[in-house]
Amino acid sequence: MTETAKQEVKQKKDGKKVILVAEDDIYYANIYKVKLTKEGFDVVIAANGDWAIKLARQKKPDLVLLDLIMPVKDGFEFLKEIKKDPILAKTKIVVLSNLGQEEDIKKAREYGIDGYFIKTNVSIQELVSKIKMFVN
Amino acid sequence: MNLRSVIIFMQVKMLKKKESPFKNHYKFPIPRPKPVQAIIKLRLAQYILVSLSLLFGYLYLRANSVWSGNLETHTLFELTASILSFFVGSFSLIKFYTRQNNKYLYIGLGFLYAALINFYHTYITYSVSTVNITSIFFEENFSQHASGFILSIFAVASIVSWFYEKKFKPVTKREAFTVCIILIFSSVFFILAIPVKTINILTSFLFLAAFLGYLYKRLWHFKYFEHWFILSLLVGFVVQIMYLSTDNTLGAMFMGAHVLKVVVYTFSLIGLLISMNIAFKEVETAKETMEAIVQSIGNPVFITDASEKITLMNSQAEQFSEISFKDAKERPYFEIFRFSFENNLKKTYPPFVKRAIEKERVEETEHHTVLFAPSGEIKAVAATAAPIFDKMKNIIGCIVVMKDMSKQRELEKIKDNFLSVAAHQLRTPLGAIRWNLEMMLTDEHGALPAPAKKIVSELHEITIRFINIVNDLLNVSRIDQLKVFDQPAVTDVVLVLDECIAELKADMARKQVSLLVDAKKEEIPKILIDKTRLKEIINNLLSNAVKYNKRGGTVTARVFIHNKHFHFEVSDTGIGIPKEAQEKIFEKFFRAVNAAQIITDGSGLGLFVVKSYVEGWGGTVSFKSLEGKGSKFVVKLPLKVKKHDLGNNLLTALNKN
Repeated sequence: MTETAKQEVKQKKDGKKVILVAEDDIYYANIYKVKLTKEGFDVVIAANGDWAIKLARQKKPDLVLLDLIMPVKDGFEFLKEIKKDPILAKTKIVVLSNLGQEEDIKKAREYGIDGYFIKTNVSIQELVSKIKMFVN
Repeated sequence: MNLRSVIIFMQVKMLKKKESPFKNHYKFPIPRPKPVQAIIKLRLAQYILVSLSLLFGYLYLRANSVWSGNLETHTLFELTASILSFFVGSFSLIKFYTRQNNKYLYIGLGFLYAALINFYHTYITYSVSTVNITSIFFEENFSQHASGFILSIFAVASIVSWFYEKKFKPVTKREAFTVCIILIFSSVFFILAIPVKTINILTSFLFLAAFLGYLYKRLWHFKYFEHWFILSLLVGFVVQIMYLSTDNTLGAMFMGAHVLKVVVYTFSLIGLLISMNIAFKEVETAKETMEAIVQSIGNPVFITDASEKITLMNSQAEQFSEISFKDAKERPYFEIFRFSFENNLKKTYPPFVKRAIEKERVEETEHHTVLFAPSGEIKAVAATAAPIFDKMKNIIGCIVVMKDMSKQRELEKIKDNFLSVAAHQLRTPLGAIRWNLEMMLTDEHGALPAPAKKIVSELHEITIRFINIVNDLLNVSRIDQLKVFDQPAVTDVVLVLDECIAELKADMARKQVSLLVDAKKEEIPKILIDKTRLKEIINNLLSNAVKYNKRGGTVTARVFIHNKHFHFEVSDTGIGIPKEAQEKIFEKFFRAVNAAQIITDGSGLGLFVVKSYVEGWGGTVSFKSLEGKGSKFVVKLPLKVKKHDLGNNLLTALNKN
């Protein structure tokens, strides 16, 4: 069996990959839900940082898509808590925000994120292919 | 108009003239004081009184020449005259060096020369009486009359020089010196060649001429020295008459002449002392006035000498620096005023005062200058340093005017914050629209009918354009704040070019613009550079070439390495840039008229961003364009960018312009 075939088998055994989306904007949340479900992911949505932390503990997602500006707890606070959690610390996290200032990017990177995208500046297709890359 | 605007105004004028305004107009016309009638009358009365008393004295001595003096009294008078003459000469020369008025050179040298001869005369006459050594070269009579002769010659020279300057042209220092030296030597010849009586006649004539000349000059109306000098000349004239009317050495007339000789020198000395006293007072007043002016300026001001040491500062500057003038005096300005950069507080600001002094021009600090106070407070400032020139066009110091910029900076910060918040808020709906449209285009929600799909595709393009405008606005705001963080990574330039081309495919297809690419991937090395920004540069230039092209036109993109520089060339066959717009094409928000007519929603920011980044990395961007024919833009970037610090580099690059 080739390497990729092995992976496919493994994926099927584990079932669908879980993606946690932390996003307070319902329009974006909806897009993620529709598009990523279609691409074969198990999509869980959390509308604020606090909720996202609870869901992360519960679901142990393969990837977190994180918005930065959210009510209750924002993306940075989410990162802070997740990185402290020994089980969740290694979870892959990709920030998807419309904050594009270098200070924000730098701050997020310091927590150890796996990617940072400005929502308006990527097409949905590009995003999906990037997500697939991160998950596999 | 405050001082700062005056300086800026001067600077603007200077830029036009390319020369300091101080250099040509350093001589401000000083209005002459109006003569006071009472003083003129008083002085005229003095002249008449002195003349009359001299006349009566003379007549009295003529009638009663029984009294006679001795050699000791004669020596005493001569010695006194010598000493007084020496003082007059020295003071006059001092005045010459401060006032730069040739009159004082002639008078000073004349009196010094006279003093020398008087001393000599005193010496030989005294020797004759005691040791009995006769002089070898000059007889007594020579030295007796030479001093007066010399004095009269120089007095006439000074008035002739004044006439000459009035009628023809100014006499330089060097010329005046030459005249003096010629006079000194030729007078010796005259004295030796001409009999004593003739010398006396000549001298009296010269004194009279000088007297009348100075009266005609009319400066005695308000000048103390001229007034007293005129009296001296009058008395000097009488002295000669007295010498002429007696042959009786040590007789009453002879001794009277000696007394009056002392009076001549005394009068001149009095005039000089009064005039010097007035000058000192003027200097004091001028200094006080200047200090008062500096104190009254509403902005913090300090003045340095030519070696950047503080000589004066006002109370506002004291508050600014939190250091008192007493402590700051004589210290280099940068120890008192610690200028730095807003975004790099560790970096000391370059010595702009030194630059102003060396380059002899007005220097202004950059936009993001701050001042460190000892208390740790950081103040936003703007400072202007202007060199100070003296009469001789030498730089004697520098005046620095500062301005508290904290309010302006605060406003700028608010503006920038507003911009980034607004941009973020704008982006949120735009992103959702974009993705939804993209999902519709890929039939995510079921296939759309063809006409609907066309519309959706157009909506998608419009949205992307909108997003790009928001991005441009954000970029400019970042460049203005110098908050551009370089994130260099090993980048394949050709790949970036390919990405940009791919994004432009739809636009090109619609305008039927064909693209020629000349980039050999294997020949172009990967370079270390911020990929996002490089992409912005290429994207801006390429999309301009497409946007402003003619239907069915061509775009040519070339990438090559030459001279250790990475070159990126884009040519188009479009509308071109009108000549009058070429100078401004890189300015932010600028759009050429023909461009604005074709595409109405351009932001005028693209080329500004390109230039900022390219120059920030130490590269250059240039163009050639012919209206109606097309344009060619060339970007040259060093293969190894010296410093990956766009924010700071931008500061330097922006300042060069």
